Amino acid sequence: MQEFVMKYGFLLLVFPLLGAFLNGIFGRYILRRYGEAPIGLLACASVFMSFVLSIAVFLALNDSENGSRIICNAYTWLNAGNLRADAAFLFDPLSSIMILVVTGVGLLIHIYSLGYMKGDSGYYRFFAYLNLFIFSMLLLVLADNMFLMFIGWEGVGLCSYLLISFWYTEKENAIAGNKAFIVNRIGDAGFLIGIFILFWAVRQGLAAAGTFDTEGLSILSFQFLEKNISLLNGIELYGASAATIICLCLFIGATGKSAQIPLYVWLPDAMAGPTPVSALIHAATMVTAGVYMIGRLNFLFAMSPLALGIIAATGAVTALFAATIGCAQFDIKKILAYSTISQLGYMFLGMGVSAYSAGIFHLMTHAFFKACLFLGAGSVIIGMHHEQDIRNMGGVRKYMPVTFAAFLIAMLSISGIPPLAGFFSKDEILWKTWESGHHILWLTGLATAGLTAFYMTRLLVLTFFGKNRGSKKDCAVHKIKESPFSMTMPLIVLALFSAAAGFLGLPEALGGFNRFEFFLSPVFGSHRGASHESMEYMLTAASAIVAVIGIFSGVFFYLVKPELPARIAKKIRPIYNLIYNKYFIDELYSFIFVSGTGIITAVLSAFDRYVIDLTVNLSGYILRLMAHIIDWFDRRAVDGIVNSAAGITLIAGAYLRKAQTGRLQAYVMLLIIALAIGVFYKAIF
Amino acid sequence: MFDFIQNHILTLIIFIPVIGGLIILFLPERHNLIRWSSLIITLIPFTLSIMLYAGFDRSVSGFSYPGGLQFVERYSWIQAFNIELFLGVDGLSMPMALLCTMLCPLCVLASWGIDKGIKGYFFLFLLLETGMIGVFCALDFFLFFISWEVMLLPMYFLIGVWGGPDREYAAIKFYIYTLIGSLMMLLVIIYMYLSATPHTFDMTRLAQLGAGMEFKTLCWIVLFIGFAIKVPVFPFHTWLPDAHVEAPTAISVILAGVLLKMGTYGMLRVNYMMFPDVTFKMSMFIAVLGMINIIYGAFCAMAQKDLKRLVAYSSISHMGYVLLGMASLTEEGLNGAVLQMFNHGVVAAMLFLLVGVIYDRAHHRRIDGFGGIASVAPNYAVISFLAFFAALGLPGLNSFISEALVLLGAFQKYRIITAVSATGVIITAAYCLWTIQRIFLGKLNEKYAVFPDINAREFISLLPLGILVIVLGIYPHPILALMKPTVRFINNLITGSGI
Repeated sequence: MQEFVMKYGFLLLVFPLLGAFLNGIFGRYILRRYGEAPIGLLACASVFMSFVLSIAVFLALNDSENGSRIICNAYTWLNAGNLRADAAFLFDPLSSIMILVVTGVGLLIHIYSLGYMKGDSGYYRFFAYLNLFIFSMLLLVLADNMFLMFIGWEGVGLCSYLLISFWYTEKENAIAGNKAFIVNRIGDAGFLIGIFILFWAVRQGLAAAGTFDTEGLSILSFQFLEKNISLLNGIELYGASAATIICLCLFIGATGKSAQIPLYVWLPDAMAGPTPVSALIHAATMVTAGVYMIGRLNFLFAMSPLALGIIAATGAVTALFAATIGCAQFDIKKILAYSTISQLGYMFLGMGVSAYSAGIFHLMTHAFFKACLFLGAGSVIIGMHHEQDIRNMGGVRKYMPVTFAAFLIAMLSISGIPPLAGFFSKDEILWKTWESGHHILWLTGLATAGLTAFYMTRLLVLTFFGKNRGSKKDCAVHKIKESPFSMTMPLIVLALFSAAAGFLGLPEALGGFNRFEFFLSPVFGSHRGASHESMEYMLTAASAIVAVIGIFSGVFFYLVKPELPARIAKKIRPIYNLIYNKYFIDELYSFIFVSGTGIITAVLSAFDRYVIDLTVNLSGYILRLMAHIIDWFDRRAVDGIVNSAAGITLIAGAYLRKAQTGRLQAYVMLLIIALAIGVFYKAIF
Repeated sequence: MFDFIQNHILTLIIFIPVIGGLIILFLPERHNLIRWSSLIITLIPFTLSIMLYAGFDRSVSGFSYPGGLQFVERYSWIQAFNIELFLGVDGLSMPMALLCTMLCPLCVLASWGIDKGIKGYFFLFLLLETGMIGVFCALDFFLFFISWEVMLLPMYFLIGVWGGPDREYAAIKFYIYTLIGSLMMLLVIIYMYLSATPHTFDMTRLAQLGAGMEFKTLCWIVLFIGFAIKVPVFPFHTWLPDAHVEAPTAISVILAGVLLKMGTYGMLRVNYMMFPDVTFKMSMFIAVLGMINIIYGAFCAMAQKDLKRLVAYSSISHMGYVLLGMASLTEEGLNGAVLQMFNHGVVAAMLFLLVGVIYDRAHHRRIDGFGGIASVAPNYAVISFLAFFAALGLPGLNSFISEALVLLGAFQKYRIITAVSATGVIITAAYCLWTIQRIFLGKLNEKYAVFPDINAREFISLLPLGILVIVLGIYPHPILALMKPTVRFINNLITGSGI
């Protein structure tokens, strides 16, 4: 089994790439000739194959006795100077969980899309992009070195761009795509610089240890880094430890990809893409890449408590900040987007307090319940004929019972109601935060938990309960009907996982065994703190109570007294406006960066045209002027001389002509004189 | 026969185009005949350079003969001045020769629409090819200079006669700039010739020339400026956008794809190999210029309203990476620089070909004058996306590798300069995406409701480049392996001289 993975593990990536290639190149033809079925089948089959292989990898790792790390080296990708990067893939417990989530959730969303995208003229394009995304994401997860990871890292960004602007004839979608890519690029520049510093620092460390010839060494491979991470000890850059600077640079990359403060602004706009995309890319998988990256490099981040502290604080603040915005939005997808930002904040909080396995655990459960929520939202949006404003919804519960049930379970899970998955994973992070001594961050997390329960309840109630407020004619109630099976099936499966996945990581304090943490221990190590069971019970109870309070207040405000929120909003108008307008961060950024870039661009191009080019043209002009002066001089002075020379010649000719008499004797005479002079000359000299 | 080709392969590659060009002058004035014969003529050197590529020994290095130079041919030419027809390639010139011979047939395809003075056009084009390959293969300094000049003249006419409305201004500007550059080069060449005993133009021997440091520095600077005009390095760059905008498509391709590389090739061949000790001292200065090119070019590109000007400024920006990599004096950076020369040749050629396609249909290049083209010309859109994403350095495509190597190498030496340069990737992404969005996305501009998609000829001219963009991104080894020993040699030469 292990040998199989070592030899053929790369096939995991080949299938989706092949699917993307075939649908991308021949899709238009297939669509015209054979309809949608073969395209969808091809796309789903390729992801299914990867999913099967992911299970195989998981099993292979489970029955491995010695060391749980399998490397499949396909070929040497890059080898120049001291840099060597192989196209090699790393299979270990961490990456195996990630690929299971990516291909598993990915497969469900592919199936869901079969129905969701029906009749779209870009059907083949959609599935080609989606398959390409699965490929890039697997590359990101499985890459064995930083450089290869970066290909996946930007590859998922590309797919995200392509899918956000999927309906490109709307200008807003295209602009949202641009925003996503460019904001991500800002992060990526940081990530890239982080890689450079890492490369430099490791080589410094190697040189300090007496190794100068590093040719052919895969310095940036995770295996090498993990083994030699101690080389970074004592390496400094501008007075700070190199490890801290590297970690912070990489974290800038993570804030871009995983939508954290300050680079979160692209994610809400990214909701312009089709809903399955929002579920897969902008909730379940791609946006968790930053969290995964920190997990992958946990040995590096462990060297810098300062960087970890910053990560934890950023995560906690982002979680609370995004949750408050989520309370005042009306677009169903935007609410979910802010909730995603908030939940990602939890994951970073977990990573920041070194609770890596808790962070990854939340990553996994979040993938289930958030994908379920998005797909449920998509189902409602389709059912309501592309209505996204929850003010125009209501009462959908009666018409879409399956969607409602799935949405309810996922919503309870994200709100942290025991014993659903979200409760366990969130609680684990909060507990670890408290345990690590960050009590303020713990409080922030707890407040976020309450807010989460509140705004999710608000969303649920406004969408599914009460009377239908659909104002549009075509939204007439009787037309709302449940989505087809291809869409509800993934919902049901995801709802089941959102409910039950928590038991994988049941903490010991609650009588569990925490299989999840145990499975990941080869990657993260197993560090059990001293047991504080009573404390853990108390905190667990606290987070459950907060969740229940959040839900009750949501029900109270939006179901029992639906007129209350508007009254309160009126009373606290300034604060409400601030939150409703997302703290005006978008406007601020647009003012600083977009106008700033515009100004620099204008100034530099004006400089180019009016200073540099003007100088060039001016010197050309001066040269021409000089040429004119010289020309004048030439004609009047020099040519004057020449012309007078010509005159002299003319006059001389006139006189000499007279010598041409035509008399033979005179010519012979001249000839003899000339000859005589010649002979005389020769004789003397 | 085969032996003859083997032994004279460089001579054949260089002179077949010009001989073919002369033949074309005597062909009957039938357009298709001339087009097809030009295509076939340009395909011969390409085939030969594939043979060159196959036979190239990837393990030797050094700037001497016998030694690292391969396929050397040496004939006496003008005995009185000891001028030779001395040809040979190493890891530096091999990728460039390959690039040049590969782009020429594609350019002939892109010139299919030329019908004014077609004979003259193709003759000059083929003469240009001879000059270009000559520059890359010459090992005699005089021959190098002659080739440099041979290439200049056809270029002047190709822009000045077959160019756009403002062609004369652009052609003169190009000519004068380049002429100043070559004059500076000539001064140093003559000085070096005279100071060698016995007098020689043999570059491999001139490289061993000893001279006072101050004088060498002066030579270095004069040569550097001469080459910098060609790259072009800020502030000598304003001839480039003008030349590009006025030049016909194929000539823009040659200009961006090959001519710009001559500047950096010249720096590496002459400044680096002949004055390594001066180069070592000047590296910081080159790095700063590289940084300015990257950032300044990118910002200027963003401001452009004309698509071709935008691509021209993006070339300036991308050539900055070559300078930065050269300045790094690390193997990673130098490999990246030479690879970037090749990769940018491919990507810039693609971009200019694509601009030509859209111009042929719309007869203008205003970026704001389009919109939604993707819905009427999907194939064209796909290839354009590929080219623009290659230009913005998307990982997995060829430019990423060279740019990453450059930055990685440069970072070992210059932290701030490299960090500033790295922000160039953000600006580049911004202007590339913004351009894509304005031309291809959004609502379809009603004016272009009927917009023919890319045709077979255009597709064939783009396909090889598109394949290279992807393949070299996934597997850069075929080009990297060519240059590695030579790059190591150069690097050791310079770092060794600095100690």
